[in-house]
Amino acid sequence: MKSDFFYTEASEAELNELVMGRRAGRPMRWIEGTRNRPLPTGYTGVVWREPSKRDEPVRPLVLVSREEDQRRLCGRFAQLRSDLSPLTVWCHLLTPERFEIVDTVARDADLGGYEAAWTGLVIAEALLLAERSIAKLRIASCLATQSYAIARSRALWPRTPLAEIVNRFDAAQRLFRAGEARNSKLRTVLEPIWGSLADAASSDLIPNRVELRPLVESLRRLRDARQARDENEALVLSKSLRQVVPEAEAFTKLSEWTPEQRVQEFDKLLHGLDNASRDQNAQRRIGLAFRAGYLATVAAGGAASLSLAEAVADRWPDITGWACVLGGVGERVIWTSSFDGLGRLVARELLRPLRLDESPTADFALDEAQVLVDSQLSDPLVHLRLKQSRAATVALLPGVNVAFPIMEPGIQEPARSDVVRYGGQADQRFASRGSADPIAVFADALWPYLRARLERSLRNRELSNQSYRNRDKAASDRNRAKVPSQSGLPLRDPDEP
Amino acid sequence: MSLWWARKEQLDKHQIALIEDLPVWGDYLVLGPPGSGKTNVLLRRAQFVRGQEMPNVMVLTFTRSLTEFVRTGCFDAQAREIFPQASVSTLESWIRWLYEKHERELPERLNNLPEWKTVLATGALDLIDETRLPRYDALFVDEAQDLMPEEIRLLRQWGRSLFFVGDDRQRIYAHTTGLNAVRQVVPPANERVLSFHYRLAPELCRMADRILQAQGGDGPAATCHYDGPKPGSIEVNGPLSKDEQLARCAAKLRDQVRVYADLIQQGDRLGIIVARREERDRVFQYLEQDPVLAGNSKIIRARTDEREAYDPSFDPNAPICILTVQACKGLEFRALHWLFAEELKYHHSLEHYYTVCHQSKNRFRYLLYNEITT
Repeated sequence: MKSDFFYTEASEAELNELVMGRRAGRPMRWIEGTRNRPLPTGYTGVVWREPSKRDEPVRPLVLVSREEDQRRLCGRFAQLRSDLSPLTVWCHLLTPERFEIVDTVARDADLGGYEAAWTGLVIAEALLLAERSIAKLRIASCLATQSYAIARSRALWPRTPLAEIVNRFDAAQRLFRAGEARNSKLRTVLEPIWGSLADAASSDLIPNRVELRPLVESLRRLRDARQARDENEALVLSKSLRQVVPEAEAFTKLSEWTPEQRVQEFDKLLHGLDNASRDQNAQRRIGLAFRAGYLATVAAGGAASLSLAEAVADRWPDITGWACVLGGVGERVIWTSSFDGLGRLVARELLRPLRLDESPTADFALDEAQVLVDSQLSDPLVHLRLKQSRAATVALLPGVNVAFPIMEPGIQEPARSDVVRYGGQADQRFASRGSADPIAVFADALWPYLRARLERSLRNRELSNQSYRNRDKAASDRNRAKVPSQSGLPLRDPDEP
Repeated sequence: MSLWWARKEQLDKHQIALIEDLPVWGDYLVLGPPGSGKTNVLLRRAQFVRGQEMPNVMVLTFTRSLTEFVRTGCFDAQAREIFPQASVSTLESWIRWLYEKHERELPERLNNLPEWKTVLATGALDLIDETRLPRYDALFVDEAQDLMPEEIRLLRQWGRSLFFVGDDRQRIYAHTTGLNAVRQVVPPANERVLSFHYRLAPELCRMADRILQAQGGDGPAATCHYDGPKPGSIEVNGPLSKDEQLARCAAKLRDQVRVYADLIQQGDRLGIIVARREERDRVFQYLEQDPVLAGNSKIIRARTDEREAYDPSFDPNAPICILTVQACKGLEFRALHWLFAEELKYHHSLEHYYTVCHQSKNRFRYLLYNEITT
């Protein structure tokens, strides 16, 4: 059967014709499964579909552009052919590297058997950020998390480094001035979980990060134990964890412990976490959090007791993260009403195939938005032609659509007075925030205004620098490298330690 | 432990068959040992039937505390109503409501409960003739073994379909006729049996078996298909003085309130059983002095002459229930503390012990303070 898809390596002139719906260049039939050839310099690859009738316009589906050429590509359409801009509203934008591994128009998402675990982590992060009960949590909050961005990216583009995804997430946040301080606070504790899950799902037998190896091994063993319906999963965990947490040996007796003994063990782990933090023993700290998270999933005599983790989420959010992850390891049926029905919704989005033969479902791609945003304009987002009032969906990578709230200048984030009960424990947790000293409260009140000014100043300086650079590859790479990462900015949340 | 399955709602294939395979019209009697899921089947069957164009249903229980327990099943894990609470009532409240709706005077109250039940039901037997209220599409009745014949006649009048669940070994009131009267209205072919139980840990089954020998059937240990939290356990604490028992109980409860917080949020409770009413107040006062447990406990009173104070409603902020054997009927506890056990022999029979350790369906944690000697 002949393919309806064609691929044209188009010069700028030919591209102008193609995006107008007119045939141009020397098309070749794009056959699924065949290896894509390297893109010549200065050209844009265009995948387009043959219309059913000869007199209908051809429709570009995918633009393939080198990273260093994307600024020019998007810029010249925004400035000179604005009828067609933003391009990524209606077609996908890929780098040649990503296009190289595309061998079909429907790209499957695959999390290597850890779908439920990733989903749990997404929900855990949303819970920690929203500080509200699972019943009040909405899918939109989950699809706006860093964990979702990472999981979805790894599902579609498994070789993408975590650091790149995080940088892209930060960049999108800066565009919309949305909640980065809260995200970056969680990042430190979630990073080991992201890394462990990513490595556990990877086909590489030896994990990338040495310090995560015991955790990766634990995740893999736990998955195997559950899939084999091994009731002694705690024993399996104790073997792999004892390298970093010698006390994990005690897990060999876990099945004999009463719930009261388990909660006492949980308290011991919290004490150990305090000591490990004081000693700055990061690896041991992570191992203890992993163990505490697991214990929370079986504390009530085999039933979960996530409230144990939630009660200490302010201090140890990673315990909640690990609990939600470990509660899903080995679980392959992901269409249950877990997490009050959120689980299957998040999993569905994580595993949704990317269809290159259909228009993107995001509002635009990050790569294009970064080119089009102009902070010197009264409305820096004017070229994006936003028709959304509260949130924009940005494709951090093709198919990796993450929602970001749109913040107007001078408008602070919503107050958290609408925090609702999360069991009995959560109230106590949130109450501690309210008891901050008056200076801290004052700083909190000022922070949204200060942050807006700081961000504007930094962005202006960055754009000013960029305007003096030429467009060649080296310069473009330099620009990217100089975009400061969030952790390097003096924009930390005031209550961050 | 996978977080991806709502274990609380899991039903086995036999239970599901009783809920959805039986014709929606017709009279049925379901028998089963404690923990076999009869009450759950009753409520889920009512929910199912209600969705089959038979909206006018009522679930009737024996005691108000049981009604309150059943009402916890009217909510999902996030406390959202999934079955109308107003469709759950005690049998007595429902009959009183019939009197009220027909503007009839209640008969004079009798102290003997079986006699009172008989008089109350008999006085309502002609109300149906006034046709002021429509008949129910179906009535669902728990603890059928404790029904009086007149009550069954009344139920027959008002329910187009009747669905009973019960267990003759769980009778707590003497002089009730058991299931024989129910069998007068339910054809033998419509009798079903749940053979296995799932929620009582083997350790507790063995204890129940030691208290009361099974008659004409297998005991709970033999019919146990328990697949719940492990390990189930029975702890015997003592010999201890009463104050020492209270101190140890409070220490355990402090851990249990934390470790079972998720389950408590979903409606589970912790139980403290005592032999005498006055001991309930002592326990309550003690727990109120505890800085962690204060405000977490509540006395559940059996419906006797203490009607004024009778309030068995479930309060998730007070998950520790203090009660006597009479009041624990049909309730289910995540963990049960049996305080001052040495006193029980003066007040209760073997059937009552069986009730506490078994009928109360404590799932897998059982803490006995001092030993029962019989």
